[in-house]
Amino acid sequence: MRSTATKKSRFAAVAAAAAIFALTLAGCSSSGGGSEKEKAEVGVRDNVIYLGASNTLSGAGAANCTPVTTGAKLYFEKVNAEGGVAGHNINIEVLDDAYEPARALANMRTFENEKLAVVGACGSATAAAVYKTLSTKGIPYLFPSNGVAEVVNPAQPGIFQIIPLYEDQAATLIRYGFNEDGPGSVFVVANPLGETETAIANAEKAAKDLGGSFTSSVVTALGTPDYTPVALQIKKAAPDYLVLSMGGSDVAKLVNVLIEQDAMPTKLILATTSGVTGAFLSSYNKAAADKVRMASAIRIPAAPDSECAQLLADTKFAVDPIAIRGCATGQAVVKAIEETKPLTRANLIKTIDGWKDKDISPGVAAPLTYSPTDHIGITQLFMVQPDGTEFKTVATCPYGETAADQGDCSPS
Amino acid sequence: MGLYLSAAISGIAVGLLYGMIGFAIVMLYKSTGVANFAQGTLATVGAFAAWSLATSAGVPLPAAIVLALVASGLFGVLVYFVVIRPKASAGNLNITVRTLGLSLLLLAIMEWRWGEMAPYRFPPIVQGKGIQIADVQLTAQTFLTAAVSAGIMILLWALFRFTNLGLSFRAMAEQPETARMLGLRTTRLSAATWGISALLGTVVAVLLAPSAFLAPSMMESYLLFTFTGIVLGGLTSLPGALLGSVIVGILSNVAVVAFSIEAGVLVIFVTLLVVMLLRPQGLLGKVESTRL
Repeated sequence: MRSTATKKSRFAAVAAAAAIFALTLAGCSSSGGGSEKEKAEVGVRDNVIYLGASNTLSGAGAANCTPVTTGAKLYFEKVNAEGGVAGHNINIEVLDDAYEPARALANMRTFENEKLAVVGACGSATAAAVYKTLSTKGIPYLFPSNGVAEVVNPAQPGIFQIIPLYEDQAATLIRYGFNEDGPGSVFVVANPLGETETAIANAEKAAKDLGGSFTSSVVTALGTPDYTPVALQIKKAAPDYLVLSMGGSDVAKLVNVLIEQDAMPTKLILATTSGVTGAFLSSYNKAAADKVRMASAIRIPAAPDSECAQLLADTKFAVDPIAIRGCATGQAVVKAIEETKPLTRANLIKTIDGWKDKDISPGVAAPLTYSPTDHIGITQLFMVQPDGTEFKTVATCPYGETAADQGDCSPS
Repeated sequence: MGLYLSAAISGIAVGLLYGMIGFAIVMLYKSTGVANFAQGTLATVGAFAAWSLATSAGVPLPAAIVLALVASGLFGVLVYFVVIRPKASAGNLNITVRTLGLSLLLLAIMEWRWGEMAPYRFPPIVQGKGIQIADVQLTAQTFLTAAVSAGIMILLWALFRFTNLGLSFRAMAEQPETARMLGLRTTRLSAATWGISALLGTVVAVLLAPSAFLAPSMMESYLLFTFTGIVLGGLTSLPGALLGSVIVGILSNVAVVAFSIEAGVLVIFVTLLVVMLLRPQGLLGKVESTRL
């Protein structure tokens, strides 16, 4: 018969072993300790990098937005076919938000614990709805098309944009126009794509600062079916320049009605990057081509030897500026992933924060520069003009939010 | 003053379009007692049919439109037999809600099939500068719209006023059971009404599409003003549908140039409220009475 002392010591040994085992298990499952490896694996597992995108795939803005993620997806497929990036394939899941903020937010909840980053979405209202959630949770939000100032001003951790805010493009557009055709009167028409009142105020200031004048402005809904009343107002005002911050098909509708009503401005129509879409090219009246100039974040057409031009050449998106921009976005994402070691969300953000004149898409986009206090990467805008069913680049303009950063454009 | 006059004249032009959509809705309501919320989407389906034939199949535009009109008419008949006729005794409210469901279904199908690259350019049916009145240019397309609108209104008015067929439609709407007992072929008449209504919708859609750009939701913004116009004019009156719609077009356009886009919508609904309070049957509608 074993002694009580022996039984007690055996019990103590078993209890101690159980406690050590339990403590080890607790240490492994806590978010502290074995955690650096776990954090790096959010959205990175089994040699696959998981990305998410919430995009306007249906509804009024679909034609202006769907090609963004299509272009990015095509580029990721190309990268995967060539062996992936850093030994990983890229998997992107695109969910439709139909340009509804609530749906976009719901999509983010789906991505939160599964994706390394959220990529290349399209739409100011949806970007404004989701950026705080993503920034707070440390999820990189890479290169959305957004016109709402608070998303990037002040710079939010993890939120990086390529295209400048629409309200800040007016000064560059007006400077270009006045340099081309001389100072004149400016009339502004805007869809609510961002801060419309600020866009109008900025246009007015730029017009006056550069020796011109400001006539009037109109705000119209995206997808307005009949622009005749607006055209009549423009006809009465008879401005030299028309500055448009509108979606592509709305620009086309307005331009068509202006021609119909003999209401074209005497000098130029200047439109922000939101108008540079395939939807505009397929719908506008070609008689207006000589007078239309638009700001673009990318060179159009892309250089024939550029990766994006070659990738899209045999697709229906070969000359679609939104798809080309989407491809360039894909290139930026891949470049950032390549340069991030170890690959974690926090490190990805640090990588992009440190980009200076980073040439992410040669022959397509201008180099990008970011810093912890400036998360709009572009430093120059291309001026494009419709040419039949395509765009052509006619000038390159330095872009800056202050007059000191702006300058004269140089012809392309 | 010139700007407001020009806005009013362009408002007449857009009001004629609202009116034509309204004809289809009023005709259906007069014949069946049902307000068809799928009118817009049925019309858009017809326009997509014409566009697909013209662009993908290479059919000349006039032929494509004719084929699309025939197809629309047949599709309207199909809608009647599949969606409307089953359990017709459920009542007009039930059937009206079915039309709402049909509208959502058709919209979803169009989004799935054509939504990705919408909107599309629809070739104009006629081209030409037209004439200038005040500061507004009335194009050849506008005159075509006016001519078609007038023609349809006269035809439908004459149909309901002077023909046995029109009388049958009216009888069927007011007393369907009695009409059936008296030997009217109510099923055939109802099917024909739906077919004609769908065809009329397609006429409007192909006239609208060149300027509005073809997209699954093309007709949505027009429907709001159309329903306002026909309620304003009188839900049972064809001339009322046209008058109400033209009033809506004028008020909306003048308010837009005088104030803002939002004011255009506000003025319409304030006007509707006032008219409904003062004259509930609408401007040209008849007071409905029920024999107890």
